[in-house]
Amino acid sequence: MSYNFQEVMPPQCPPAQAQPYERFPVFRLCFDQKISEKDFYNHHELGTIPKRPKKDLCGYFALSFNTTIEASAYVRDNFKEFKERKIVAGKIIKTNGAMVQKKDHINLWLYKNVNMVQSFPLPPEFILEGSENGGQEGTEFNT
Amino acid sequence: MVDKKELNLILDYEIIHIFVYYDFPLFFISKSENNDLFLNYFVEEKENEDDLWLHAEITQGELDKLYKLQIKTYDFMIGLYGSERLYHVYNCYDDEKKGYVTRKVSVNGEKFDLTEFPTPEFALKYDFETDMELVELIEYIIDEVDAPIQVKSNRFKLVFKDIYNSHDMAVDMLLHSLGQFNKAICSIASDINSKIDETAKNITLNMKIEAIPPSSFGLVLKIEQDDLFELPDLTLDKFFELMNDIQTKPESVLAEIIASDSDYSIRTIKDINTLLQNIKKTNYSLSIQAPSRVNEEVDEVITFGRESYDKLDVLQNYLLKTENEREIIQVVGNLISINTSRNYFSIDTQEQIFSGRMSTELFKEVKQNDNIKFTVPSEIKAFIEIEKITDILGNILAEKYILKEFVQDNTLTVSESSVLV
Repeated sequence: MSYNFQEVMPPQCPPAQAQPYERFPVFRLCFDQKISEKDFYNHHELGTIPKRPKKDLCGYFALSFNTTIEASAYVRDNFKEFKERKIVAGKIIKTNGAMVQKKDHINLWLYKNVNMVQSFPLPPEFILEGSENGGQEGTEFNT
Repeated sequence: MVDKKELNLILDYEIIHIFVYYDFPLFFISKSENNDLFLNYFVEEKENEDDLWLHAEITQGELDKLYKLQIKTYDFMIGLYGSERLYHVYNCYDDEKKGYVTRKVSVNGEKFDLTEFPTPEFALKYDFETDMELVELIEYIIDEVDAPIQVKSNRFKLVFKDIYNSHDMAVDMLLHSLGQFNKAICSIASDINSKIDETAKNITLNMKIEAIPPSSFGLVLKIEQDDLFELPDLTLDKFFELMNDIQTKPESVLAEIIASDSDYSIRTIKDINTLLQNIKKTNYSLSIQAPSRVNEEVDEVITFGRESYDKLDVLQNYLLKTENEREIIQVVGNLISINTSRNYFSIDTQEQIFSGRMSTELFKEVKQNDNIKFTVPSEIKAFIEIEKITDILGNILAEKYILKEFVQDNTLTVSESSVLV
């Protein structure tokens, strides 16, 4: 399977250890509880690579997720940029892409034509405390 | 003249630690080609798409404290702001230069915005650059990690070498260097003597040439010994110790040692700097070889050569700092680290971590009285002398903390007259 933007990714990207796994639940800082495409834009799509620290160019083609709510709250609460973001719970499935996990952080390189807005939300039968459930609403947490 | 490229403070330095990563490094430490260290903390992307960062140059010691979780990031960054070392760095696109450039503005009273800082509870957990989990390191008592150098001063060898090892040296240069060496030795002796007797005057130690060996260009010297306190030996020990630090320690560590070591006066640093600057200027190396007092069959050797020339910048920079101010304060906190071999302590009072050395008197008591014990980690009440080193403008450049007295367990005190804890 080829990756989204593979044609412009640096060589050896994603790294060899990146593999497709399932993770459930995972958390992403989104602009709104109702998730949209822009919640899953990487830096290449946003055009922000040239102004961000020159480290691990490959990482700028990936998206960050956390495996715990606390890890997402850690970023949201300590960086002004993210203070208004919503912690939205969802899932990563094997057909989404390949990931590298370090502690409670995941870098996910999406495969081509993956629609995370459809794929990410939790299944309707899965209810997490304090949350709206399922559909394209995502599952928001206030910690 | 070649136009030097203006460095982008966020993009052009090497990243050595990433403490928070989310889609990109949000909090990282970078290093310049000159090994200067910088803290970079992302604030936000402004409406005009400029990125705003909090940015400050920090020392290796400060980075170590962050990395060992000995100081909270919030406290540290507020401290940087308080000492006017914190900057806003805007990373913005320049149409003329067709690239991103940084604009650096001091975070002063008007610009200060607490929402740009981490929360007080913010704790570092992981380094995404080195894949290291960060855990609080408590240094327990470690014996003889850096074994003290103990040498005899009654017959030691001084060897000067030029790049060709020509066994030849101009007489005026030799006499000049010997004069500077003697001056540095006398300064160290005076430092030691002043700790025994605060009213003591400057010491003069006489050196005598015992022999001129045929190989290299060397002299065998002795410091004439006419006192009861082994002052010549102790003096040469301290000289060896500092020369060994210059020879073996990285510049950042050397700077910390000089800034925190109360054993060397500014005059001593100045005299040693003068001696070594002269060696450097003439492109020589200087080696000193002396028999060990611990094992007579072994000689201790220290060398100042070309590979250490650059380290004189550390001494030079230190000497630019001028005034010293002293005050004694009482603190109550947690004794988080004590090392009775290398004379080091660290007390965390929640507001601040005080790290430094015990006073000469207290250190002597600790060495002589086996009954004096420290409990680590445990509450401690302490009297700490703060020595502030300021530049000519009165800016505080370094602070040394000297532990004068302490009480643990609210029971007994160790002060000038020794009492068991």
